[in-house]
Amino acid sequence: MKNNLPTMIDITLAEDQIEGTVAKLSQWLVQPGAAVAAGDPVVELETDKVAMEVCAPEAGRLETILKQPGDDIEPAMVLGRLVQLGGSLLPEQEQEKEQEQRPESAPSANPATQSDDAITLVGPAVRRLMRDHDLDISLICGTGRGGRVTRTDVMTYLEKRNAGDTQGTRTSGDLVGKRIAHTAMRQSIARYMSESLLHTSPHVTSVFELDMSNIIEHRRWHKKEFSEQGVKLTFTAYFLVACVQAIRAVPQVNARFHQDALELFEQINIGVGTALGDQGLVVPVVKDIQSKSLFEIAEKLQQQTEKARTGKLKPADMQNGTFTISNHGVSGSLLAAPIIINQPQLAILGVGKLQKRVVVCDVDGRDTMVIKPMCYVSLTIDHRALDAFQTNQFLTVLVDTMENWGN
Amino acid sequence: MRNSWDSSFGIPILTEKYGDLRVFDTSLSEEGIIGRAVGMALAGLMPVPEIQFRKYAEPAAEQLSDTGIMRWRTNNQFAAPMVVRIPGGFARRGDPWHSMCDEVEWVHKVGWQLAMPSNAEDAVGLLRYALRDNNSTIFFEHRNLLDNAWARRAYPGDGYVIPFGVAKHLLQGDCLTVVTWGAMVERCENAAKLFTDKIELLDLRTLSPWDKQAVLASVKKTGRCLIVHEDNMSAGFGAEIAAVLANEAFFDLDAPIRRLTMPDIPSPHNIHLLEAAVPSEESIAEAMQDLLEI
Repeated sequence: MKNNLPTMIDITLAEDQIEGTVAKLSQWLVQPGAAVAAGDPVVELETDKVAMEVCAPEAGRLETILKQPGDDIEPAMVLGRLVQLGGSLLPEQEQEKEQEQRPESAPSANPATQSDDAITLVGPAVRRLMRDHDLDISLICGTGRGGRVTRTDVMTYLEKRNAGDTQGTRTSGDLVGKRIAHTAMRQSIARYMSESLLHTSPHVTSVFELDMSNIIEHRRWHKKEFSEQGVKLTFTAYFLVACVQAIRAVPQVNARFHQDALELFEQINIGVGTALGDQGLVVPVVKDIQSKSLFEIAEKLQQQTEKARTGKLKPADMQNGTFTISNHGVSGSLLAAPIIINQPQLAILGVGKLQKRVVVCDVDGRDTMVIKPMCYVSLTIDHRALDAFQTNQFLTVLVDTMENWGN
Repeated sequence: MRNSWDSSFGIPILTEKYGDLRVFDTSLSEEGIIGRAVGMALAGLMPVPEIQFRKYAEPAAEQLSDTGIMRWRTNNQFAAPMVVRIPGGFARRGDPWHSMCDEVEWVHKVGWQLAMPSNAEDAVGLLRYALRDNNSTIFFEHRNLLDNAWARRAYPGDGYVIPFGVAKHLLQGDCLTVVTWGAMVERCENAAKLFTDKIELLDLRTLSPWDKQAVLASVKKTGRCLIVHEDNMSAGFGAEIAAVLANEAFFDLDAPIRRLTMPDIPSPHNIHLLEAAVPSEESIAEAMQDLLEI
């Protein structure tokens, strides 16, 4: 019988950690019975756009798991409980089990499978199946002890997948494909994109041409100076500055549409679409750029894109954007339209591939063909709030700022 | 050849039936029993010497070892095929002389075959095969099965022969292979009834040769294996099976290979200690469940 009730510590999600997004529990990083230090990550959540860890509020032993992988998580929910170290704390069932096993002569159960994280125990048969079928073990639900993925689990997964293919056969003729389950990120991209384009904003795209000669020249002169201070000077940093100028000229672009009003923002927080290969796309936000210099913007931008590429973005890094830039030209595209508006914003800037083109210029009163580094810039707007008038004014100021940089 | 001092296993009736030229007592000297049997075998007879209980084979160790390697020693010019019947294993209670198993010793002795039937029907078929074979066989009769309801079977007929090295599938299942022999077969079958259609139960029946192919095929199907034997754990025959599986079925394994055996102790005389030491239906079921859940 226990005399001292051990102190239980709730593991909860802080109110501000997932503000406004949906979180799903992806996995427990420690298993019941394992000791953790204060601040150790204990459970991993996946929100729409990031994977985040919830840490132990105090040192203790993980006692109870209340939420399972796949469960939706809301702030203040108790995900599990720790018990302060020192208190004896095996659930009674397990204590009984231990007592039963002790006098048993047979050197019984395998210690490996009673360890804390059976999810990482991949047996030879499973390992071979994973390789033969090119599977991702994280997609397979483990029914073994401690969540271990067994050979049967893999077989069941394959059967289900094949059954899925059979359905596909019915609807798509003789096509039989390989199914890859959506990540939470893919699902949220799908949801947001169709919601924005098909249900929220009537999209219209305007396209301007931009001569990058001055920017290239300026960057050539300042790149070294920036890099000596550890900052990479990218063309995107210039676009962010130019956007501030354009927004100052057309503040309705930096706003939110309500049924009865347009809400304009003083603060300019610009998100920059960052591709993560097959994983999808994230939009880290560079905040308060209305008051920042080119250097500060370049520095902040570098930090955010670095975080995005190493998977370290926190939900806060992607919240409260007021405008977005899509650098679709980075991967070769000259023009993309429409670029889908990142709700609840009103416009998105597209920057096409930088390319030397022949343009006709007035040289000494005569039309002359000149080779210039050009790119297309586009602004896709929500036609509920903006018209061609504001759109083209925005692009005019943007192009003007870029082309006359340093003049 | 037997000693009439012991009549507990109903053999004297053979003397009445076949006469004392064919069925007779020997001196109480195990070395002499096997030594004379070697002579009779070399003279062209098929002797069936009986060692009264398992432990008493020890005084005959040298004769037994030399019998096994006779073909090799004589460039295959001589052989002494015989069937040595030895009862052993726990009965109603244990003790270090009558009840020991240690069947693995015979597997290790080059040139001997080893049969360890789990029931009367198999005993008939295996004994007939041994008697007709041209090599020496240790025919290990489990004491607990000599008068056991589960092991009692109808006589399968005069033509019934079971070749050595063919395991018997008692149960078919997809999730766990259980390999056993001798008195553990009954316990494993009863324990397996708790897990319908999950357990594939194999009775090896002979350990030398043993049905490696059947065990490998089953483990490749189930991915898991439990080996249950009465003999002690360390270097018991289960270790041999486990080693073969680790080598030849590694990429099909979904769980650690597990052995459930007697601990490394003499067979206890006290009935409660004996029950605690020998794998029981409960401990077998527990091991099965553990492996099924891993």
